[in-house]
Amino acid sequence: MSNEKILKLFDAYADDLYRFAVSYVGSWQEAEDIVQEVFLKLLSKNILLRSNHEKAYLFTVTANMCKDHLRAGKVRQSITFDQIEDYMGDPSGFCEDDKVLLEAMLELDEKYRAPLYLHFYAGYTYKEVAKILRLSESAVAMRISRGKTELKRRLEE
Amino acid sequence: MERQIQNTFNKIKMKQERKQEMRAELEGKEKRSHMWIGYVAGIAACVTVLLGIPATRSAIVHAADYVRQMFHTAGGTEVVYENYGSESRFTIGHLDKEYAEVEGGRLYLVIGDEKIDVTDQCGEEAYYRYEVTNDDGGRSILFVGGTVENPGWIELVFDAEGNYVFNQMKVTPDADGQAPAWVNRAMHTEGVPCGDPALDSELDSEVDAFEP
Repeated sequence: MSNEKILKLFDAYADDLYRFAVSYVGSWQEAEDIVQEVFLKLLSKNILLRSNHEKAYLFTVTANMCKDHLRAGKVRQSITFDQIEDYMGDPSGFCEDDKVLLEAMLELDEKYRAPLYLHFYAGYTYKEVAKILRLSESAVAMRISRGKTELKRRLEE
Repeated sequence: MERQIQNTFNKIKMKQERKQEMRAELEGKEKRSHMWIGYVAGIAACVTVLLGIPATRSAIVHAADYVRQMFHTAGGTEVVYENYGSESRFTIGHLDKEYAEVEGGRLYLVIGDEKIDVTDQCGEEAYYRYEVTNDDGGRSILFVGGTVENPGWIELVFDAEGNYVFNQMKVTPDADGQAPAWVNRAMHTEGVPCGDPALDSELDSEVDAFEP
C-alpha cells in the first residue's frame, strides 16, 4: 500500500477510529496514541487491502490495540465530560443531551462500550462486530442487548 | 437511542492540530512497504498473477545510497531489488513456468524435473506445501491448491536469513474478486499477510506479543 493511499485512509477514517478508540478505552490521549499507532503499523506492514475491507480492517486493528492498551494498564484515567469540553476547545456543539449520553456511555463497562459503538454508531451488523472484536456473534448480541439496557437505565436515572 | 448515539459521537473529533501532526509524521516516514507488480503473460484474463513485495526489504537498505540485491525463485527466475534511497524497484527476469499443472484429471505440482500428484491433498480450502532451497541460498515455499477445475499456485520467497522477500501467485478470484480460501490459509500459516483483515490482524497480534 502506498504512502498516498495510507494518507487517504487517514483522512477518511482517523476521526472514526478516534471516536471508536475513545469509546473503547475512554481516554482522549490513549485514543490519539492508538490512532497514530494504527497508521504507523499500516505503514510498516506489507498489507494489500481490498477496498471493501479497508474500514473493517482498520477497526479490527484499532480494537486489538485498544485491548492491548487496556490489558497493559496504559489507560490511566477515564474521561469526564468537562475534559471533553476542554479537549474539544469548542464545547458549543455539545448540548445537554450529548453530555448526559456521553457520560452514561463512558460509565458503562468497557465490554459493552465497543460493541454498542460499532453497532449503533458505525452501523456494523452483529456478525461484523463479532469479527472486529473477535467475539462470537452470540456474545456480541448479548453485550449489545445488556449494554443497551444498562445505558437506558443510566439515562433514565 | 441509536440516533442520539450517532448525534453525540458525530461531534467528537480529534483535535485538528494533533491530526495535522500525525498526518505530517505519516507523510515524513520513509515508506517501508512494498509495491505490487501485476504481470500477465499467456494467462487467461480472469487469472491473477501477482508479485508482492513486503516491507521487510527495507531491512537491507539502511544508510546506503544505492543497494542492489538479487534473488531467485524456485523456477530459477532472477529478481533484482534496487534501492536508490527514496525509491526502490524490483526487476523480474522472465516469467516463471507454472508450478501447477492439470493432466488427465489430476492436479500436479511441477518443479524442475519433479511432478507430484497433489490432487488428493488439494481442495477449495486445502493446499499442498513444498519447500525448496534456491540458487541464492534463500528458500521458496510453494503451494498448489484448489481443485482440478480451479487450480492455483503461490510462491513465497525468503532470503538466506529467513526474511520474507516477495511472493508470486496465480490464482483465480471468485465472482466477488476474493481469493480462494486456500490462498489465505496458506499465506497466513507462513506468517505472511494475505489481505484478510481478521487473519492479518492475528499476525499483528502475534508480532506484538514478541515486542518488548
